[in-house]
Amino acid sequence: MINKITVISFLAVLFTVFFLNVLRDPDELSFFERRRLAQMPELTADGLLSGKFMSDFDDFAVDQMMFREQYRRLKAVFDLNVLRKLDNNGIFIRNGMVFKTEYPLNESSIRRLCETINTVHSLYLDGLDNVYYTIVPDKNAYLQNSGHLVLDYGRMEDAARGFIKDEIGYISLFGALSLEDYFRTDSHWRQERLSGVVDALAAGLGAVIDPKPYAEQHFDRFYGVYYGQSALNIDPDDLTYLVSETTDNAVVTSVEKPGEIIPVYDLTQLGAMDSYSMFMGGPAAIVTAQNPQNSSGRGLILFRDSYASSLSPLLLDGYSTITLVDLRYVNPEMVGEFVEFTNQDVLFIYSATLFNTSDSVRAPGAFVSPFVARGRIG
Amino acid sequence: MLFSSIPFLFYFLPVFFVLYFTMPIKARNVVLLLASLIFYYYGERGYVLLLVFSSVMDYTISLIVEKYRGKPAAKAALLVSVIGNLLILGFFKYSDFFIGNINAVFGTSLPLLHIHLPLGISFYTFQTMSYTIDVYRGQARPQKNPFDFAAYVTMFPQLVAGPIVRYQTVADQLTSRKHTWEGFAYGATRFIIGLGKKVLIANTLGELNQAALASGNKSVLFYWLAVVAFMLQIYFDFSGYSDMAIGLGRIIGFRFLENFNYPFIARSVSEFWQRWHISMGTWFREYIYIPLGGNRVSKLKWVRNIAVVWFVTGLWHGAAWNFIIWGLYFGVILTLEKLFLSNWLKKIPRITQHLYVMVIVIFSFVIFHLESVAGITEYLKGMVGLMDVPAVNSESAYYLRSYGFVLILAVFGATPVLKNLVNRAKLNPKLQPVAEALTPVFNIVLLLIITAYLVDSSFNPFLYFRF
Repeated sequence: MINKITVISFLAVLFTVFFLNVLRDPDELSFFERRRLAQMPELTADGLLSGKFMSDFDDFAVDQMMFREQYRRLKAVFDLNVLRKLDNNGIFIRNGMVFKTEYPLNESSIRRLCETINTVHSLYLDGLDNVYYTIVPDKNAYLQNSGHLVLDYGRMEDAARGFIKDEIGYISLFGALSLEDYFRTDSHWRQERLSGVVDALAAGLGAVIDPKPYAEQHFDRFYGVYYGQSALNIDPDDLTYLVSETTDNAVVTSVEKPGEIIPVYDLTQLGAMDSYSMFMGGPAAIVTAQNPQNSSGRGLILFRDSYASSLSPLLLDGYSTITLVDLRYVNPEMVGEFVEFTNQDVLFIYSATLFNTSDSVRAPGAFVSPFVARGRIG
Repeated sequence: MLFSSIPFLFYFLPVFFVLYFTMPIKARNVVLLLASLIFYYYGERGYVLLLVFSSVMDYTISLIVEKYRGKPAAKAALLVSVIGNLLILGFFKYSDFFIGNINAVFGTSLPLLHIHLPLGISFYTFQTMSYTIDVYRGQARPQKNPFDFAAYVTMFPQLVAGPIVRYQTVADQLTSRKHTWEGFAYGATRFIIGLGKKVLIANTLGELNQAALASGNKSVLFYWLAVVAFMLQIYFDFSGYSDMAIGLGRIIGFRFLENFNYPFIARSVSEFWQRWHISMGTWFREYIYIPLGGNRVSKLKWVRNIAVVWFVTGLWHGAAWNFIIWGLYFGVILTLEKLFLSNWLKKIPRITQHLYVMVIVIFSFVIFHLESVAGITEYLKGMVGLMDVPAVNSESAYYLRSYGFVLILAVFGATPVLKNLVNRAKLNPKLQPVAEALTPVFNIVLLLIITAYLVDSSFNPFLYFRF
């Protein structure tokens, strides 16, 4: 009898999963993994002969597995709680905060990004006085001596200082932040806790940023990028954004959307795949924000990654124009076609994570089309 | 196709079971053959023709051997089979190794061929070759039905990573085998356990091994972690695959011989090899060692026989010098054991015997893992603290803490303790019903956990595929 039960239960699992997978409509997107899911490949003679059908079917079968999220959660729980691993796919939780291991220090990546910064300086910024760079610490920087694998950020600063031209000054943000200034489920910093960063940058750039009074607005269902990667059941974050007369009146445009005015805070992104994309048009090649309330004529150009999206609205009070350039999506040589370099302040602001994994930044001369298609959704 | 993949588990296997078990018994070998060809084609595409060619060649040759038994033609046919199989194996597996060595010795620059190594070629060429040899020796009757023979050669449960199933083992089962609930239940349980060994233990240890090797921040602990993780990874990977093969075979009525028997509990290296990859050891003993005279020759020839067998064993594992050195290393150890050490080993405490075996085996895996002689030397120096690195650093301490429990589980799982406990429970009248009732529950829970790992993981081939 027990043999029959063993056989029937085994077959029941195989056939139940088989039928569930065959009968279900495939999902197009994974909300939590923030990516498109593989679809059923077309069965063709070419595909069968070349093997493409088989490799595509492998992807399809895994991506479209019924209860995929629940399986991923089971794996994460088993890895962390049963096998007692300290991380699951590099993701770990400490005091309710999700972290992703970024290790070891990659000096060649740091050099690559620094060389791109130097190239941009040579192309457009030679002779400008106010050119700086900064490293945005990722939240692991505040996990020293925790027993987890953490980069040597001092070495990263030293390496960058060695690679970057002397004409480009450095503004350190490491002392301006603490662990509480980051989202629990996301890699990014919290906009409402960036006053120290704004002060440090203003001091470094010699800018006067006198903010209009902010009103805090809240979105309490922010599932950050680490939420999906962790596959664990974690409470969502509260995403707070700061609204003021300045942000209400700023005129934001993107060269990718000619003629369109973009809100500083795009509320339609809240609850979408990446709510953090609500800031300043989200991932975009070149975005310009005009502040009609500032008549100084002073401009700021930020060569940046996503951290600057939530920071830049707070810098608006000090400038008439802020231009955000993301070299992951536009080639350095093409920037001059869209941005006029005069006497603006210039800040290269990149996260420590990007310094350490700078593959996504366009190397000079590596690309001919003006904009790079963004693989990431949202 | 991989056993440890969603397409195999939840697409191929259900469809195969339906087709196989709904067909009349006489048609089941044809279903098995077609399924095996699809299984192989899925991963290897055109190389399925090589598999078919190998089957047709040895099927035909065995009939010729039978027809001309006792005549020179039979011997000639056997030679064609042996040479043909060795040429196939040599061309696809060793071409670049030979060319590289010719270039190195003679200073030539012959271009490498970069031939794709067809999966399982080392296993199926050995199986078909041994079949023809057995027919020639009169130890096996030639299979007249080409479909039955092809089903034996291509049988997907053991096609790509063994065990090396000799024809004699399954000859009767090919034509007449029983499909029972008991066999199916045992096979399913064995298959799931093997899958668990591969997916939960071997793959996790593989992560540790890779992390340790890739680290630019070495320590003595890292050297040890990497090699111990690799040794256990290979064991759980390969023995897990053998469990799956034996389990799947049992589900469809075949009984393959065991391939592993807890090798790490061995108290001599000779015993270790009686417990590790048994089907390969048996093959080399039957078809090389004994034909050379085995140990019934002069001491000098006996040593030569051991050297030949272990040279070939090393070469079989891979087309690189480190594998040959690895084989010869064991050849030397086994010779020393047989000539001098066996008596000493019997006298020393049991724990020392185990320590002796573990040291020999751990060092062997350094040779097995690293392709260059310089790399092996450097690694061994690192293990004994001669590489100017700290004993422990924060990185190695992190990995030890992170993978420590898996390592303990693996060490525990490499011993028969758990199996003995379960067996004892099954013999106890009070515990037997509980143990039996828990089997299907255990299977399903384990299968779901394994599935979770497969859903979360990327492509991860079996290590022994490359052999």
